[in-house]
Amino acid sequence: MKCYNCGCTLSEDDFCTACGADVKIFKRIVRLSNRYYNEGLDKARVRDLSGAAASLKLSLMYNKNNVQARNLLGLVYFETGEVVYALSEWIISKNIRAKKNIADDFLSDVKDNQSRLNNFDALIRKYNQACTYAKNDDLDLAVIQLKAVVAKSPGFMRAMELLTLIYVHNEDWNKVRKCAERGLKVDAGNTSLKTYLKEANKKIAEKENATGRRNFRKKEEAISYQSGNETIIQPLNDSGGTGGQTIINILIGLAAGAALMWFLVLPARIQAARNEVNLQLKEVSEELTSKTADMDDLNKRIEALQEENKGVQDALQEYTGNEGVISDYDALLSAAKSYLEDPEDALKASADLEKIKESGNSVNSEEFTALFDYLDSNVSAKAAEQYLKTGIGKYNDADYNGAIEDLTESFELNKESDQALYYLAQSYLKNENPDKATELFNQLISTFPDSEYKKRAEKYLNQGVEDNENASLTPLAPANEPSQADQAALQAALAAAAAAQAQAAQAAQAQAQPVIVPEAVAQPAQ
Amino acid sequence: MIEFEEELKKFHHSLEVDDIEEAVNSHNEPDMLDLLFSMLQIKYKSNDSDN
Repeated sequence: MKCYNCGCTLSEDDFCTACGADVKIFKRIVRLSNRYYNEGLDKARVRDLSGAAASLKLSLMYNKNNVQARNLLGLVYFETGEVVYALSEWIISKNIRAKKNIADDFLSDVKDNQSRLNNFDALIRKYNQACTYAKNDDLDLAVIQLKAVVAKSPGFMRAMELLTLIYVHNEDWNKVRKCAERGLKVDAGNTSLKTYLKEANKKIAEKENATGRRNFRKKEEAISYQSGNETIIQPLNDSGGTGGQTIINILIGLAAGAALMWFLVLPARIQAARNEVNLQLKEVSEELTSKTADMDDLNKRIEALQEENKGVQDALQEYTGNEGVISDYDALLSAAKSYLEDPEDALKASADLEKIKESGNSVNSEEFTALFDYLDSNVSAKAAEQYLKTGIGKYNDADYNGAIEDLTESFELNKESDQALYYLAQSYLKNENPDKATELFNQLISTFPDSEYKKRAEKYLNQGVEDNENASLTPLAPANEPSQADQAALQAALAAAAAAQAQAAQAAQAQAQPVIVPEAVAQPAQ
Repeated sequence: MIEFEEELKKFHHSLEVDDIEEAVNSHNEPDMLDLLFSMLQIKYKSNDSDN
């Protein structure tokens, strides 16, 4: 201890041996300060932090330059979550003793870690907010904030106290006891928490007595002792009960296991199975969609093929049908055969050529056209003449219906024949069809103004005089016999026509190949 | 019986880190030694005036 006047080391005397100053009261004050420091230190060692803080404050009240007391007080503050107060104590301590001061280490430990300092600051802000909530009667919000604070910093005693107090207000005594016990582990001398714990124990006991339930809590009956800073709690010996109780415990364990299976494991398995089924269902749906799309494509293809098949069938029908190209070839060949066998008998050849005209097919073959034109030019005139001849014969025999047929054919084959037209009109007239006869007479007059039959027609039309004379066939120039050159040309045209017919038939067969539809395509999707 | 309102009054806002200067400056209260020295000063002054 140094003299406050001269700074010399003091002896056991009540005055300074160097300057003679009275140091009796001074020494007593310093001793009191040190005594309270020791007391605070002892309390801090058994985690009675509240008591330690009180003793250390007293120590500093006697001697504010007691650096050790100030450093320890800062440490106690820091342990109870009062970081700012702790820092202030250490800063003052550093000002009092700049060198060889452990406060240096404390300060650097806190200040150098900025994130830790920020965390402290955030916790303090939350506590302050909770304090505001509690005073505004927003206890639920306060509890939320305080829970967050004590979860991060269990040693923040003010937050723990306030949280416990709110639980006391809510009469949630189990939570009060839990929080109080948790806080007392940090600060065993905290009188507020002790009070709350006592009240909670009292209320819980009352409740248990009222409900008659057995109190399983035996912690108070446990043996506890202090070993240094640690409080050792020795568990009570439990004999384990009787054999029957053991069996009951096993059964309870089995039931708990079954419940665990039922509530935790089975739902997870069921969910997994459901997920798997859903996955499979999704895959099947996708496959079905794909197959449906394929089936649609194939159906469209079938329709297209059917259309194509129908077109081919129609084309084949054009060739092979009764009025097809093949029949035209057949008719042309038949006409040519008839003409070659008997050039004078033009009626059959003419009938065949008439069939070709009526069919209306367009045959793109030069040989076919050449032969047709040749036969038509030679046969038609001759056939017209033959029809005219037979028609007039029938007219003279009063077979007017037959005459009408033959003369109509004759006029159709030879539109230049005024004679055929005249006797056709006469046949109608004789057949008691004067209207048709008048129409044909008029046609004759207008079409053949220079005809010798015009006067006869006008005579009937103007004077109503009928011509009752037998018809006479106007002699015609004999038909030219086909020359040898014509015969050769006809033979060549016939050969070419036969070849063209064969080629057309072959092409028709090729186009008419049946369209094979794959069975897989035709089968509906399962 | 714990009175909630009374207990709640004991709780005040804690100083934040930004307020550390304020906390340091609040420690200027005199201690017992300060009182002793001022008393001794008064005593010495009165002795000097008597002499």
